[in-house]
Amino acid sequence: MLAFIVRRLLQAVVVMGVVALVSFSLFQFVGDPVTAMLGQDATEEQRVQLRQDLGLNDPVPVQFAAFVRNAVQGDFGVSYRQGRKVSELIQERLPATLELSLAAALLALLVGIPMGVYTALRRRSFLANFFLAISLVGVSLPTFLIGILLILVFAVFLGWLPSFGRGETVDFGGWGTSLLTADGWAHLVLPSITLALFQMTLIMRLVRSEMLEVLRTDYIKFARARGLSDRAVYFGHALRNTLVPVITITGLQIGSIIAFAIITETVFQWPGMGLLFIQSVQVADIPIMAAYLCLIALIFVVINLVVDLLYFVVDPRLRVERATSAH
Amino acid sequence: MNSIQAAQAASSAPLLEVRNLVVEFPTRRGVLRALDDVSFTISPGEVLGVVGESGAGKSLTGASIIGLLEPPGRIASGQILLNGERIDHLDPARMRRIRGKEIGAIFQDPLTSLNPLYTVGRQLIETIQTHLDLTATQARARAVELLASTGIPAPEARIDHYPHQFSGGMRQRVVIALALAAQPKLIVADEPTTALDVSIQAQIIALLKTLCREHGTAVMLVTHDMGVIAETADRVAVMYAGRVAEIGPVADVIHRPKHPYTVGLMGSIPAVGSTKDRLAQIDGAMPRLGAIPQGCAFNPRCPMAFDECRSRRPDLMPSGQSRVACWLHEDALTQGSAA
Amino acid sequence: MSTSALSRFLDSDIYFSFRRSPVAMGATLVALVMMLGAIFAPWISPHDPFDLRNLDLNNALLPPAWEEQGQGSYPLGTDDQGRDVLSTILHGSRISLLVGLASVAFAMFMGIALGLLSGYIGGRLDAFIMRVADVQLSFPAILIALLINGVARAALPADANMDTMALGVLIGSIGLANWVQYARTVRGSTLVEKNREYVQAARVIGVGPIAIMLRHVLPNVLGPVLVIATINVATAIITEATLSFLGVGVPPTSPSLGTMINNGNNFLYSGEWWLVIFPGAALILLCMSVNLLGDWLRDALNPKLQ
Repeated sequence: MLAFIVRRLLQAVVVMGVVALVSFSLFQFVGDPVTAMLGQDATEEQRVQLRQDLGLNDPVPVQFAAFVRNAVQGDFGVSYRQGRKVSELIQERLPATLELSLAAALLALLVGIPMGVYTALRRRSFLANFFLAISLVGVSLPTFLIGILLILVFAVFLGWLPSFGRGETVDFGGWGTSLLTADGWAHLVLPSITLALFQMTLIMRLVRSEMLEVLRTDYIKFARARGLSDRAVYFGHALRNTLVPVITITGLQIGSIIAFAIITETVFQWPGMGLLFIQSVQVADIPIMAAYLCLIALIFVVINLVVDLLYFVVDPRLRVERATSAH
Repeated sequence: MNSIQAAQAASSAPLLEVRNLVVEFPTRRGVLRALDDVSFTISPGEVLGVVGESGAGKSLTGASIIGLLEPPGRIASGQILLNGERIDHLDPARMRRIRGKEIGAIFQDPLTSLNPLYTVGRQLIETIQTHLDLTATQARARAVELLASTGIPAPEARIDHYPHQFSGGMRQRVVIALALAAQPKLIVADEPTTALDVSIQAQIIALLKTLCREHGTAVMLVTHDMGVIAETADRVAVMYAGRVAEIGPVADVIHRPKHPYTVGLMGSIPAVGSTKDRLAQIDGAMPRLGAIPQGCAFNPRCPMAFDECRSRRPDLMPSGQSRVACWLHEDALTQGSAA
Repeated sequence: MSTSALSRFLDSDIYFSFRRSPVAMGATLVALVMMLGAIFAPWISPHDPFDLRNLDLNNALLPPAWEEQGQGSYPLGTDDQGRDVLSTILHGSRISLLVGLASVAFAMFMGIALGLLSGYIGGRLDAFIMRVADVQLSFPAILIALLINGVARAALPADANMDTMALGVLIGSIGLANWVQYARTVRGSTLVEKNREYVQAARVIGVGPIAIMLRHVLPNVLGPVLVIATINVATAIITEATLSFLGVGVPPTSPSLGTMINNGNNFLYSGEWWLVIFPGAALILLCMSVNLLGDWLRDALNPKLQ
């Protein structure tokens, strides 16, 4: 198992390296940082000076090393458009995205899993088919459309909930949270539902199909043949076995949620990293793009590693040494 | 059992009675009859073997008895009685109480019969506590006893192991322990040794036999392996195309087979020391469920078929100590047998 | 020959379950209508939304025909430039469908090729391809498509030929984001088929590896690949719509449904709801019908459920 961890860590480092290379290439080949930062009217002297300051005259490997060194410390330079340090911008925006993503993930799990179990156990009931029909719509609806429709209904027509921004935030030692105010919660509702819906339907369908598979296995048949109660069979055995792949897949989905936050933040003008990224893509603000790339890659790599380790915790077949089996 | 014991067992009230069982599967091509008028009894403590080719309906019979017939299959008609009370079409709650406590089951593949995520002990204790009123400590002690009785070494340690930590033969022992945990009166064993190594098969069969003798548990042993039947069963039923072709004491059916199908079966078993250089075989194949011929299902392949066989389906008729579904033995009725 | 193939199809389980499911039939009908509408858009749409000479700003922001101020010739209303919404939807669906199908074809082609190579040749090539696949799989497809597309647009010079290239880049980026699932499935099947006797026999005879891969392995793999493709078309369409909504998708001269919704978003609060609802409904219908078809196809092809 130790070998496994080491191998995965090495893999993680390789991935980060590749991402760093890609980010760095963005700087090198896309646009001209000097023009972007100084504008068209800069003098030749200013350009030369800036090139020197940015180290653009050094050989490429040296530049790459500098880039990596800075990146590891969280320094991605200064945004072309906004003139502020990228690390500051990200620090401001990160809590917004993380809070939104977490809310969406919890919502997706707390609603998706029970719905999935219900549709698996009560296959022919009306409610189950209703859920399935909704899930089909959920999978066919792009996230941005869900957001717009929710805004249309709840903000424009009914006027119950706000439709953009984050509301009041409270600064919690550098972490600006909106979870401590009622206004913040009101602003959180529509975006988190929007972000959660796709995941929710995915989880529901996954739980359902996994559970149906599990219910067909021999050990469930044997459990029934032993006269175990329905509750023991469905929740003790079937659900437990169903949740093993589900939990791990859901862990991977968290990364997906953070990525889809880009869309949700755009629709709701939620001041998070996703919105920052989209704006930077639209104006080719390379430092922010590069920083977002590296940060997202880091988050994904960490999540994947945690999920892999989670498999060990949850499935005893991977854990225990096989040498103890008698033959 | 000798014939006197067999007669005694037969005359005392049967433990399980299957009467005219019909199991159907509605499909888009019409309704298929997987079991067509199957009848037999099992007496307390006896081992009834059920043999036949794949698809003859042996496993379905077992599944119907424990009430685990997979939909859309359903019992269309007939009765299943346990100690004189009907258990087919019982409501789920009562059927659950019967399963495990009155009737136990063992399936073919020990690897997939056990939940891989729970220890063997947890699965045993859960079963014990479902049927018997014991505390957790008592249940655990009983679980250890059960494991020991099935021949698993160091049971106090192995009780906390996971199924994948056991070898195939050991796993089937655990399965047997689980099936016997609540001391049922009947065990339906569906091909319990087919998935095991040949060397292990004999051990498992011997174990099953010993334990069942000890507790007086009856066994319905479903298998396609005649050798196992010869070793273990008291009586045997031969199934063909969803019907019972012949049923009688083991020695009779094996050494003095009456139904042409059984004759063919016995003749096709290779015997050590035999000088034949070709195995006898029965021409043709068992008919598919949708294409069962009129009259006796075996008639297209039967070397001794005549007109009656092609038009009327034979019921089980007494012949010697067995009963045979074959018109060839109709005369036994008029001659009067000693059975 | 073809009549017997047809009669075999009509007798098959697939067709039976299709006719038994009103949902599948309804879905196919809707999908067919939408696709025909999309394909024949230039011929059947009442107006040409791209013909700048015909646009009259006096007709801008007209509500649908059944409302008070609506006009019959603009059944679903007009947008802020005077373009007929119905015509734009038809053309937009066309673009969406085009990008969806093309990107799936691209992903399928790339995935099948890499999967076959990876499975058949094995060794270091296999390890490398699978490593790349694993890494790519840990990122959501939309992010990858977004990145490739966004970077490409920033990197490429802005000129008049941008449009076709932009469309090509978009198709390529969505395709590149989605090849992995095909490759994995095909590789798995290839590994299985590779060891079958008939493949080994073919090798002994001297049949070249490419011929073996194409003629023997490929037909066995097409079933699951087809199922993946039907699901993929819906997600590709959604991805394109999302990218267009975000402003980094189709070029503005060939607007898709996503672009329309983005535009319509600006009019949410001012009451011109038709600019969002109708394109939105069209998008939902298109995706739903493709998804339903895919679901039904998956169930019909799944041997375990029969």
